[in-house]
Amino acid sequence: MSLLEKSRALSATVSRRATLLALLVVTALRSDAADGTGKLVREYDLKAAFLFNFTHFVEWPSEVFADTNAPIVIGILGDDPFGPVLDKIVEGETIRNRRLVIKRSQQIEDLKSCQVLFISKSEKGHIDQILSSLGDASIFTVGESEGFARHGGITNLFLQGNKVRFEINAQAAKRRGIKISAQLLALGTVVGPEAAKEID
Amino acid sequence: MHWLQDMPIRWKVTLVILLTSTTTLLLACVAFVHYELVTSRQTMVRDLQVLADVLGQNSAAALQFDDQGAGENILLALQAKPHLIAACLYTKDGQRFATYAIRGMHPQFPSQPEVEGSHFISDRLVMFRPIHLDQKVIGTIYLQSNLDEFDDRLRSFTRIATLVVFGAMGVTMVISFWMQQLVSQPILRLANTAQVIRDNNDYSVRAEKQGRNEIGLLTDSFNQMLTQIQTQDGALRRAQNELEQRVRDRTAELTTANATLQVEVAERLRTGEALRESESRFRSLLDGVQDYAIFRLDSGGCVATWNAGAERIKGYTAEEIIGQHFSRFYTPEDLQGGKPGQELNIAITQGRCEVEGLRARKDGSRFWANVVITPLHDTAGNVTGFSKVTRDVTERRKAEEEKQKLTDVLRGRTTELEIANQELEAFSYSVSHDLRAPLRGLDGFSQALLEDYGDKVGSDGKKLLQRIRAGSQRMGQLIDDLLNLSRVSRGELRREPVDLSGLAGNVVDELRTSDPQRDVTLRISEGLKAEGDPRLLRVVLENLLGNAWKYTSRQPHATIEFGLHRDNGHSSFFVRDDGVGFDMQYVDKLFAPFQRLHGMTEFPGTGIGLATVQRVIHRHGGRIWVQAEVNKGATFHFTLS
Repeated sequence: MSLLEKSRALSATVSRRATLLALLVVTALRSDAADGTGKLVREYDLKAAFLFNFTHFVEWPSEVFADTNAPIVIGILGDDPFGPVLDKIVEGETIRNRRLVIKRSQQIEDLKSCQVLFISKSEKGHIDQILSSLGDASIFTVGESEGFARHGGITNLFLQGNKVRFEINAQAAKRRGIKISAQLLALGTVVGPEAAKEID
Repeated sequence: MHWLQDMPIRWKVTLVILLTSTTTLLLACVAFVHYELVTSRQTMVRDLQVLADVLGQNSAAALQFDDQGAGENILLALQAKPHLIAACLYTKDGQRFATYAIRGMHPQFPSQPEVEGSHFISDRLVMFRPIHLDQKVIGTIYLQSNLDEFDDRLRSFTRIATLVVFGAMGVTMVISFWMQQLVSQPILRLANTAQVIRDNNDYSVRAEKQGRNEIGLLTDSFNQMLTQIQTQDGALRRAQNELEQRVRDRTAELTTANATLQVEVAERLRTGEALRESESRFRSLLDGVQDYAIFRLDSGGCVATWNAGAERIKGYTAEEIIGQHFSRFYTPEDLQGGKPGQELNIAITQGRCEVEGLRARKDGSRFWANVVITPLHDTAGNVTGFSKVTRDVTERRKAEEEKQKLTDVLRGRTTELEIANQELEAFSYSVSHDLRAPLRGLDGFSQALLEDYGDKVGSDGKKLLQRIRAGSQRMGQLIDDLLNLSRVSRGELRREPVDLSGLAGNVVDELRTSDPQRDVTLRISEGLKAEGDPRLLRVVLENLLGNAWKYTSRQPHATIEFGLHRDNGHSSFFVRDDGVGFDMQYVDKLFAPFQRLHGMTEFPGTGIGLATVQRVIHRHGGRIWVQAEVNKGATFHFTLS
């Protein structure tokens, strides 16, 4: 609970809570206090923040946007585990002058024009189908099941202790025309098709 | 500062150049060091900023994804920069996120980030710099650097500056030593020249001119001064030689004079006795003089000697007057006018004072005195007294006054006479003029009567008419002569050279023409000349030669002479005839008008001619006189000045 303690200490000293990280912590505290299933709630709060943070360190080819003002669309496929937290995080934010829009759907067809696609645990059974249907479209795919990155997804979020970590398949991103910042690569665990085969 | 004044010029010049250049260089170095200090600090801050920005940028993802391990890994890159002592990343909320410290250091990190900026703390540079992601602040980086790099730069720069300063000083010294020669060399040469001149007293040496600057000017002035000194020196030497020669000459003269003097002294001794004798004779002579007051005054004007003449004229005895001031001889009026002093002054300034004036006697009576005052000098030329000679000129004065009175009377009379004479002449002229008209009528009508009525008056009547005519003609002649006489008296007298011989020849020619049957021998001396009025002199010759012609008319053979007579250095012209002459006892009547020595029947004439002649001669300032004897002719002499 060191993070919690840290958050509590912070709540006393930091007055402005409208910023990203503060919001994240506040949300976590409230969820913690509300339903007692703190672990899950906190996990998705962090994952929501990750989802948003990825957009800082990822660049798409310009063709994916209709025009220079077109928003970055974050799609949620399957059951939404974030609730209003994600909406609150992206509200009012811009990345390289583009707004952020959340789009939720059970059908992959609805989300093919997204830039970031979160594939919920509920779609665990047919991930391969989803990925193959996307083909080489320039979509930064984020999953939360083991082997997601190894099997053609770009990023897979997982828990290590009480911290959220991620894997990145740089090859997959490259194939889809997406540039990932070296800083992001340095933070995540890089995996590739070769690595996937080894695991298989 | 005496040592600076006494310093040789070449050192001074070198010192000036050295000081100037070193000061300039030092100032420049200080400026450059200062500049370097400021700029290197700025550079350091800039470099640190860049480093902070790079690190901040690199740690953005670590901060965003809350990965402290990644953050510390990034900070470890600072190991490559040994001057960075410590670094720290703070989250957006001011929490320490990751730290770094150089090995062996345990720095105190600020617990919270401060505002953006940098500052130097003793030997450290400390900086806070925000970390941005997409224009948003996501954290802060803190860096702490030591100043070793800066100190190194400063040290090496100071080292270089020192080297440059000393090197430049060395070069400057060489250059200034060489340059100072340009300035000091001409001065030193001038000084050497001056020393040579001083040591040898040779003013013919000249300094060599080196260029046209101030030193050149100084050299020129120095040379001009030398020329002047040379000239003056020469003049001085000549003057000295001359002086020596003169001293020698004078010494010789003095020797001679001395010898002469010795001879003279001996002679004086001999003559002294004679002089004393002569003086006593002179003294007794002076004392004996009765007509002159001769006495001496001392330099103050008091009477010192007195003679018998003085006693007689002024009435004082010698005992009474000696020692008294001489002003008592003057009248009160003269004393008031300061006469005595003035006369002594005139005597001193002009060497003599002669005056005439009234003086007082002892008894108060006055006499007219002629006074001569002469100053007496000693051998040095100082006035020691006066000699005074006074003469009683009262008698002479009276006679002069008398004579003056007479002269005045005479002058008055003369003026009156002259006026009367002028009136008379005017009268006679007008009378003569007015008389002629009725005479011409008388003669003319008588002639008409003879011609028209001659047969009616008979022979007696004719005779009477002829006598009337002769009478009136004679009267006409008389009037002509009178007019002539009055004419010679009037009018201005011209003086010019006149050829008397030629004039006499003309007159004689006319006489011969009027009386051609006469047998007359005429002797006219040639070359007789005189100064006078030619018209009047012709009148003189006409009358004198005419008279000679007339009074020789009875001679069957006559001789007439005109010439110059010399007698005892006096010369006079003369006209001589051998005619009837006259008795000298009537000579007084001869020159008076209307006086005749002969009857009209004997020799016709008016008796005015000689009066006219005498008038002309007198007007010329000459004299006329005559010598005659009955039947032996007459000789008229005249002079013209």
